[in-house]
Amino acid sequence: MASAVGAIGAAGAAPSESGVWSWITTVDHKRIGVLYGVSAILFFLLGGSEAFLIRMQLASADADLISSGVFSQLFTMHALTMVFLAIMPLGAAFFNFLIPLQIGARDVAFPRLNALSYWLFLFGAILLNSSFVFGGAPDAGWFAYANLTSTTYSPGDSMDFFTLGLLVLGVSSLAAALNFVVTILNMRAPGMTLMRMPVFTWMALIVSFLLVFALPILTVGLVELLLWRFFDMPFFSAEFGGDPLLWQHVFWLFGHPEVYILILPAMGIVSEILPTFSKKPLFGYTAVVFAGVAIAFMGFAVWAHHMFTVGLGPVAIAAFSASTMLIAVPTGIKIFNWIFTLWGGSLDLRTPMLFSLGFVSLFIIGGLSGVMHASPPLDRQQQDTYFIVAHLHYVLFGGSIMGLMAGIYFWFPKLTGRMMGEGLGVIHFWLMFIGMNVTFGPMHLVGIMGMPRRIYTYSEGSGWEFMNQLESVGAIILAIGLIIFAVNIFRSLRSGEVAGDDPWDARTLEWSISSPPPVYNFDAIPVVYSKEPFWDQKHPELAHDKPPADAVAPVAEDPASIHMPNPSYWPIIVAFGASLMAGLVIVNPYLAFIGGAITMMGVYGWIFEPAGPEEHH
Amino acid sequence: MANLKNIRPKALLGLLAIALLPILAACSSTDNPLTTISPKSDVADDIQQLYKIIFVIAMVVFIVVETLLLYAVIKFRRRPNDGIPKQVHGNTVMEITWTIIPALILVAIAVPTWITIFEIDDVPDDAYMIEIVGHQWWWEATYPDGQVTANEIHVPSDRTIGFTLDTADVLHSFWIPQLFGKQDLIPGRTNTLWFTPNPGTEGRYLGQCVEFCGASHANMRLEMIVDSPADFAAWTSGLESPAPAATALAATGYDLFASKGCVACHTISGRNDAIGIIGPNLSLFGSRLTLGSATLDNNTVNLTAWLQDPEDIKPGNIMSKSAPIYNNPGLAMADTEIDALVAYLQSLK
Repeated sequence: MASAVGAIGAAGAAPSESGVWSWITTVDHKRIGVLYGVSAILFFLLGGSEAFLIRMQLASADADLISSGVFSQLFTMHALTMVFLAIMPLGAAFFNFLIPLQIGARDVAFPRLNALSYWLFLFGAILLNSSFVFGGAPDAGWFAYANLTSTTYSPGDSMDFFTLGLLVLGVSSLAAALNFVVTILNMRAPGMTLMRMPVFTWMALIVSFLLVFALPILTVGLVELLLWRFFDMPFFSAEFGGDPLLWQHVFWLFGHPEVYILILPAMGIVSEILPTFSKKPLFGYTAVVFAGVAIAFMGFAVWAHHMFTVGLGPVAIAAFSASTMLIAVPTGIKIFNWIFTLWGGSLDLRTPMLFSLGFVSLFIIGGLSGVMHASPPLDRQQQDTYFIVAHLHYVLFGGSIMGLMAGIYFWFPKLTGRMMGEGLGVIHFWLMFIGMNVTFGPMHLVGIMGMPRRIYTYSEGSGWEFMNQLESVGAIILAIGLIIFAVNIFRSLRSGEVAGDDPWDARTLEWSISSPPPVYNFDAIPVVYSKEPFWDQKHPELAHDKPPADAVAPVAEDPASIHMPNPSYWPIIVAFGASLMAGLVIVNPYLAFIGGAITMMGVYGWIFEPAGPEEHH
Repeated sequence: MANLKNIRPKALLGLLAIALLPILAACSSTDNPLTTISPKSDVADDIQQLYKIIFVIAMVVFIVVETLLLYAVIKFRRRPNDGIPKQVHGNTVMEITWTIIPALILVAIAVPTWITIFEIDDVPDDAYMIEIVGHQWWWEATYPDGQVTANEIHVPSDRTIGFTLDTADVLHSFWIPQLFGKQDLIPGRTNTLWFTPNPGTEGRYLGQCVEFCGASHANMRLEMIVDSPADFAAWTSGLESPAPAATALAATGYDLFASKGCVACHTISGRNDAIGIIGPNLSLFGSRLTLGSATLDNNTVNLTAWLQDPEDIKPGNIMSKSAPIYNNPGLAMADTEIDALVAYLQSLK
């Protein structure tokens, strides 16, 4: 990892400082974005490898490649890794890098808190994965339904790694989300009203609010699980007056908003790329923004659609099926607005655009299959079969991952100053698009044929053999696609075509500054008069909202006099202490005081760290 | 751009047929014992009717929207002399249209959904009620007259069958797709399910646990056997008055079943010493078609393999974890003893 970070650093931002120490102490939002991005891609490859092993085991009936115990660990960790360690932090990478650049700010509101978020994420991820070495990874599914998670049915430490790892990751995401909310609400350039914000920043704001409201719910559930396992407090155990269903309610009340936390960043990315490569503004900006807000609100009112078969009674499931179907309305609004952004445009089908179109076409499929099991009677036949696996991968792979890939190709030149290879990019896209459909498409059919999820083996004569073989071939295609992606990144970093400031003829503020951006982002804080300030600056004759006649151009400040926050090693110390505390709880709760002491020391140092300009640069 | 008028409808239909072939294949219940679209009961029929409505609507929406997208991509792709296109910001009428039309489509899905929800909810009063209890990783069934069996559940074809669903340990989900949709088994609450077999559907139906329940979740299957009323009556009376062990080898097995400790966990009707309730009830085991919760055919080879190393077939099961014969080398069974036990179990008809 160090070499990859170093390579980006060498080609990338902040020429004044380099080396490992500068990355450890950095509070620069762009560098933290890179740290998030590189870590997330590595975890994506780890989670992908876990999925690959699962697919190899299921490629034939009665296979013996992987034991049932290891298989349970693999599917649990695959989901946890993809959700918490790959897609969420990839979203965070884009938020970090882009929000200040898109709103014309010089950094996020709390730069050291931002660094703390990253280090907590990294250490939390390591804590969770270290379970593989210390006696076995969590194996009760990422949803961890009680009472399989009790000390009776999960006696080892694996579920404690789950609980404490997710608690650390939750603190990380919560701190990051609050940071982004404050940044977006308070640090926009003059003139950038909320309804002039780029759609990506809008989606980042919505996701941050979702995180702020959804994560505490998960935290409550995790703390209850912890108290149950360590101190026999029977929140979820029926024999002592608790209720295992309580966990399901708590988990999905977090878990469904989480789905939108995973998909909205990709929707934001695509809403930037489609206009740029169509040379048209986003069709129905207001509708797209409010559809996003509506999805977020409704996301809290649909959780029980994960529980249609637990026996909630007909009135409750009828109500939750209605609220679930309603979400299709704002989702449909977004899709139609994207399609009509293309309409009448001049479509440049380069890699970011290909991935964005892939996103739209695949997300439609995931959305429609979602409407199908929003109907509880159908869900009785589809729940916990591969039909659901197909659905969720069309949303999270076809949706989130394709969208995030589009974003990587789109903003790579801004981040590094170099273009990503177009030829390899196109090959990468087609391998991903075809591989994704070959892997996850047949899952619809095999699910309708009744194949349950989370089974490590199936018998000959089930009728599922051919489809599973096909899916495993698809997984191989996907793996080749990802190798090409990795090759493309390394080649482009070393010898990619020099990008220039605005390689795509783009529309928002981040393209108005150099690639890579200077540490301080903007020497002159821009004044904003419209939704697409940079496009309107390039094409004043086409502008919808024109600056007033007496508008004064902002004056550039001398870079030497721009005060930027000092690097700090306190965030990594606090993060290390807090994660150590969580990890030591598993060994012996008393030992956790060691981690607590390190955390307190870090907080003390943090508070009294001079912020004055004397140590500037 | 390809001229769309040149594409013949017949060719399109052919393509569609090829694309739908796997779906048609999935309809055959003999090749796909767990298929969800080959209903054999009133409840499964109701779900199927709804599935057809929603599937057709979803396919139409899919084709319309994807075609629109593909058309836009082909039609408006960049050409060498393109200038800057007209900067269109939106259109309120269109926004309202694509808010209202999807909402109407959803109403068309929601209304039949709600009707079906209430139609399949309550167990009819005259149902023949069977108590189901899920265990890691097998199923226990208790009949109204007190007979107990495991994993292979016979039901009569001439009446409505109801189930009460409980669990002895963790969550499970009870599902026989051709007969009914799934319902979860949850500690501390009793759920219900019901169905009425369609006329002429006597036969074997495979089911499987579909809520992850630990190491052998994949091996927690079951069979429901829909019997004609006469067959069902014969089966239940057989449960009450089993035949005695017939051969000498089986008689040896009878004794081993006690001396090796099997009786501590297993019940066999007609034996006063075998009344354990930790493991599956083995009454009439010899007449069962499958063993290991419907994972293997019930024959000599499979039963011998099961008794030699149950852990290999069903990882994590209580018998291989706790039974003395698998944990105390002094009590381990010789091959001849296993043969005798096999003969005894097969004699239970």
